[in-house]
Amino acid sequence: MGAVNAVLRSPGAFFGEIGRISLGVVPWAERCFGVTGGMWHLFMQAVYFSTIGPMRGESRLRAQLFPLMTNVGVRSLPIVSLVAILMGSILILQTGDVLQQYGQIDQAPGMVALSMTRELGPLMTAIVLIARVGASFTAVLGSMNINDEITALETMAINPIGYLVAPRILAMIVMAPCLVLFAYIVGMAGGWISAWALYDISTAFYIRQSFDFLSMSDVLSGILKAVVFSLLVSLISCYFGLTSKGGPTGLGRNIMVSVVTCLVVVVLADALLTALLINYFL
Amino acid sequence: MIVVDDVHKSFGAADVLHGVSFTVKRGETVCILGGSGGGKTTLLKVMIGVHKPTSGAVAIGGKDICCLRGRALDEARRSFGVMFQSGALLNSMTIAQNIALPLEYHTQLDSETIETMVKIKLHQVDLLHAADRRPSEISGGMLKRAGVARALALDPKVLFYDEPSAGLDPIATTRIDQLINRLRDSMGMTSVVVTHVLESVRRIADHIIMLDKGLVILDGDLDDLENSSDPRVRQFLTGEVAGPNAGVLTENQYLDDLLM
Repeated sequence: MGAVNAVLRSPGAFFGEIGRISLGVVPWAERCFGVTGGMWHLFMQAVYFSTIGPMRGESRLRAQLFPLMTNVGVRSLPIVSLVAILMGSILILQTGDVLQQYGQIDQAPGMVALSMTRELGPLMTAIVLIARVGASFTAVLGSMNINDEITALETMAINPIGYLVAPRILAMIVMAPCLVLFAYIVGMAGGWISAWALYDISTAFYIRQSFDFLSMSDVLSGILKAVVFSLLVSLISCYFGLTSKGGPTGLGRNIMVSVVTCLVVVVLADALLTALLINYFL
Repeated sequence: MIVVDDVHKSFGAADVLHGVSFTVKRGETVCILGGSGGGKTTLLKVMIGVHKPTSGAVAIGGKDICCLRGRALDEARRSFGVMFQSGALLNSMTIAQNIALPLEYHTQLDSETIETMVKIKLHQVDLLHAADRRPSEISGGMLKRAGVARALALDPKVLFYDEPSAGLDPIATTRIDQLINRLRDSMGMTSVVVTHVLESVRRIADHIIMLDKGLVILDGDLDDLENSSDPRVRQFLTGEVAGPNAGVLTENQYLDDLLM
């Protein structure tokens, strides 16, 4: 209200307010470009340390990679399964009555299969990975940064990006598609439970209908999404971890910013990829 | 061994170091002394290549660490070790794994040889019994000694210590000091110790550099420190509040601050 009153009092103040708001955008845009540039730099370094680095003896991925793959993949399986089975079930619950009214309940298995492979499988898996893995990447790297562990690695001539970031990105890129494949199956199983219990659809019919609807391109489009989402989530969460400063308050803030950025970027990337895939691939 | 030549360092508008110069000879223990905010830790970070100086140079074994980048900087870093104030051990690993890390990364040694070398390093700092504990399970003094063991892993010629006695009881402090002396006497280690603990300085220092507001105000030995007539050095030695670094405003300064 204070700003509105100032504008009403003097016409000159109106332009002053516009100027102030415009100038306020400049540092925000500067920060956005800075963060994007930083992530691009981190990505290029991670690519180097995942490909050329091991050949030149500058990074050793193996020791770090397998425990991280276990953490990202195996330990995410229960929560991914729970979310996927519920999503499959909910899809039937939400659409079953309408489909039955129009005599199309036979199409329900195909609808679940398509939804899970093209959209819900990769998206829900990405959300689980943001919450479970991305937040932990930011927290771990952030606390290492605050405790001088990153500086200690540098002084031991161990590149922190090669040692900490590259294996995290690789573990995500390898394990996310595996999780998504698992989510497809479990999600369809969830749909089958509801379809069988509520609409008396037989197991054999459900399976046949599901696979009649699906094509390889549907499965691959979901896998492609999983690779892109996992790259984005791991890159963003590692970046905000490495740039944490200001003690526990700064770390907490960066975890929040990291999770929110991951969610927004994944949904944006999903929209973009869906538009591209539907037009050129599916 | 180490030449610090006219090093300036600024962070934005804040000038922290103003032309710091001194030389460290091979095998001597140098203590960098000074009050809080005097620029000691910044100088150490410039010396180990974590911060680039605004101007000036730091040469370790003839290589200017400030000009090096990438692999050349990594190679230079393998010639020295750093013990951080907090220990900075990786919390996800045991003490033994922390010490083995630089060996696994930079050598082609087999795991049995690395294990033996880790035991030797742990024995040097009297921590063999804590090999399988994690950093969160040991005391502050043990953490610092584990930090020294890790810094020793690649058999460096120079060791940098950031506040090795900070937060330790007198017995643990003496133990760290004895360790620094033992490394000098038995291995000819060159040590650069950032500290503000006078008892430690008296026990370990061959050479003393005293910083005040980013300037070297004393470059000499223990006698030079004890006999200095510089009021800033005298105030540091006596620990009196009144003096050049009192941090107390004059009446006019106080009024200026209020009315500004």
